[in-house]
Amino acid sequence: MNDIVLNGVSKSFGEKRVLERFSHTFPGGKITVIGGASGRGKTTLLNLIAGLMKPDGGEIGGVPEKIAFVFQEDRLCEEFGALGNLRLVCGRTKTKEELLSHLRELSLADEPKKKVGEFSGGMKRRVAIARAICFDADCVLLDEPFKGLDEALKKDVMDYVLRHTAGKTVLCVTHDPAEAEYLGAEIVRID
Amino acid sequence: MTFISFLNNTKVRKTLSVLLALAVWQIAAAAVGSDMLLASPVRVLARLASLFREPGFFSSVLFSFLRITAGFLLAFFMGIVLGFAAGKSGAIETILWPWVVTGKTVPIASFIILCLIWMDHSGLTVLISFLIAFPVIYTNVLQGLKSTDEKKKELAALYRVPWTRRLLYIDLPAIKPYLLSASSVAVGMAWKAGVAAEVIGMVDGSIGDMLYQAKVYFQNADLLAWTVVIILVSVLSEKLFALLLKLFFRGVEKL
Repeated sequence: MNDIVLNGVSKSFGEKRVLERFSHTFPGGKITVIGGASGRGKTTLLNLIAGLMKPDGGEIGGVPEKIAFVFQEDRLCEEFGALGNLRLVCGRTKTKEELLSHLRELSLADEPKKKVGEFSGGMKRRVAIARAICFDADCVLLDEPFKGLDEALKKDVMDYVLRHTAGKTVLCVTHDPAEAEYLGAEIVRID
Repeated sequence: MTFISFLNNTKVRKTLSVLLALAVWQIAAAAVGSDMLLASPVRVLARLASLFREPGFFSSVLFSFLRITAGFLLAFFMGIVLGFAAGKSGAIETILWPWVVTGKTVPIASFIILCLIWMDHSGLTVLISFLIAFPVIYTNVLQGLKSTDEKKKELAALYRVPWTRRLLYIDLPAIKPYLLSASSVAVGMAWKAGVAAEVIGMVDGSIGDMLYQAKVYFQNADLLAWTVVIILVSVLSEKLFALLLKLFFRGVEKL
């Protein structure tokens, strides 16, 4: 798995400079946690790596073609069930039983066809995480993925992510040092 | 339940307002004193009851129903297909713009007369129902697609969701409320315009033909009884189509 290399990357929004000649090499096949105060460009960094934004300057290299992204907002299809939301990204590449197994791991399999719009915030978050994992991407970008999950559940969800991302490049933005420690990842601070 | 809370019930209030309107109509008919000018509601009701037993009644209703429904369904499917095409391509939207604006603004009577010049009466009802319903469906589908959450589109692009799944999971839910309300409006409009076309075009064997004959022979009770029939069939068509559409979306959401 290639390293993701950022070399002198800058990004501004109007007058506001969010990233200023940022350089770092994110090791391929490993988890890296990105920390730092709010508004320092952590989400922007993930968006740049995902190709959803273009940098004003600098270079980004080594990004795998197949990327999964858990955004800060869940971006779920609320009219569909958890199963439907996984089908959106997987199509028929995975069997129903395989998808249900993912939902079971996240305690979501009781009502796989119940509309996601009727789910609690924590359940929606888990569906968004399952969707990213089911995509079988080479690189998984997680933007505050465990926010809103209660402590007991958070560890289960982190275990699920660790289980299914072994050997993949994972970049996880979080403000919580305990999460970073649990994930056993290298921590990069953007300050 | 107190009398005040009984009156505050919406259904009760609506029923009372209908009864009041019928009373005003009855009083107006009594004041005019001529069934030829204004038949009373009781007289219209009696005529309606006898109308159901007449041999040509159901064939006239079926004649108009089939043509108006055909025109509406054509508008419904073409409105969806072209609405989607325009939603995905600004060029198609621009090309279709003058046609849609024409359909929306030109008086329906002008269309009917033009159609009578260009073609025979057989296809008139279908064409006019289509022309009146198409812009409503097309515009709403386009509006629904334009209201699609940009963040979901971004997600679909990132996850390389093919267009078939994007249509199913993102586009159809986005147009659903627009399509439901547009269909409800368009069915009613198709009936109004379709019957108007039958009256002006004197289409034999249609409901419009019955209205025309009632006008020619000053049979006000017939005219109003057929109007009630049009309202009933139009509302039934609207409810039935709305139900089918809801069942379709429910089926899609269960996938």
